[in-house]
Amino acid sequence: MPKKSYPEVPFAAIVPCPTVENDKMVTGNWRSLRPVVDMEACTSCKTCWLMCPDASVNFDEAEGISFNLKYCKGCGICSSVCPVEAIRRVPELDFTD
Amino acid sequence: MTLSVEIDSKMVEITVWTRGVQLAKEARDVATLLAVAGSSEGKYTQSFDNYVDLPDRIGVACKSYARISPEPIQTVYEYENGHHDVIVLVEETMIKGHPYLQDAKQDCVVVVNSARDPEALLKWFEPKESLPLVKALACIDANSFGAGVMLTFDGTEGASDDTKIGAGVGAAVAGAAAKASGCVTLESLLAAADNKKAVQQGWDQVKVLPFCDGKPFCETPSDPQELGWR
Repeated sequence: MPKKSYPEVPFAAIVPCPTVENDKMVTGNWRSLRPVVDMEACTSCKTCWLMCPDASVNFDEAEGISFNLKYCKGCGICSSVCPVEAIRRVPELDFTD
Repeated sequence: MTLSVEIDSKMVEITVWTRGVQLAKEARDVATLLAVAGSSEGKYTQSFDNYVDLPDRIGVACKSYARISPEPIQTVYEYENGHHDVIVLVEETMIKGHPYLQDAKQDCVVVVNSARDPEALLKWFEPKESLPLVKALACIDANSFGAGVMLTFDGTEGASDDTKIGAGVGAAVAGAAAKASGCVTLESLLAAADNKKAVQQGWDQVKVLPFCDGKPFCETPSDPQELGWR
């Protein structure tokens, strides 16, 4: 067969979603209140993961919900949409990092 | 060719850090109050927001500046303060994650709007290499004194200021900054501000922690340090 001159892509061009972060715009220091999830109350409904406008909520099957603190702006949407109120907002200076 | 003449050698540069949209008015209040107070004492002043910062995003760090000098100010085309004498943080969480000590002058004063003690905030200082430049760290819990004008979208673009100057948190922070740094007197600040009670409370209740060579708790008495005029 003659060599194809175009690159091959999967059928219907379905490729995995890119997961790169934008190092040029780090927004973690915009945050004054940090989200903290109570793992006992969390039901893994993933509403917070869905609603985060910055895609800063990570969901792992094994570990549950965690937050990408490098980019989380502290808007509080995750906390207000959580149906079981498992996420609370804690002042940043209460932490030691 | 080296310049043998110093430009604006006696100028005191005040940089106020805040978070955009909601607290921008407070920073502008602090800068304006200190500048108006300074000019009522007969000094030459400038005060302005930072146009470089893109401040219309909620939560982003943005700055306001004030300059007070006993001689006419010659720096008119610089839109940012080059070297800071007084650094004011209107929101306490800004003490981590922002380079406010960068380009700070020797013997600068840092004022933070926080209910915590200055000692508790020491571990957050950034960048650590600049710590020897700091002469004093002051804390004032201004949020309890003036809930006033938060959540106003007043003129970040500089169009108009419908709410009064110094009606909220900014008044108390300006009082604390004046006391910790000694750049203006209390009387001129009271005449300039709208919420005089908050200014007085800021002046009285600020907790100042003096530093010696970058280490806190030095042996000097607990009177507030005066910057003096260079």
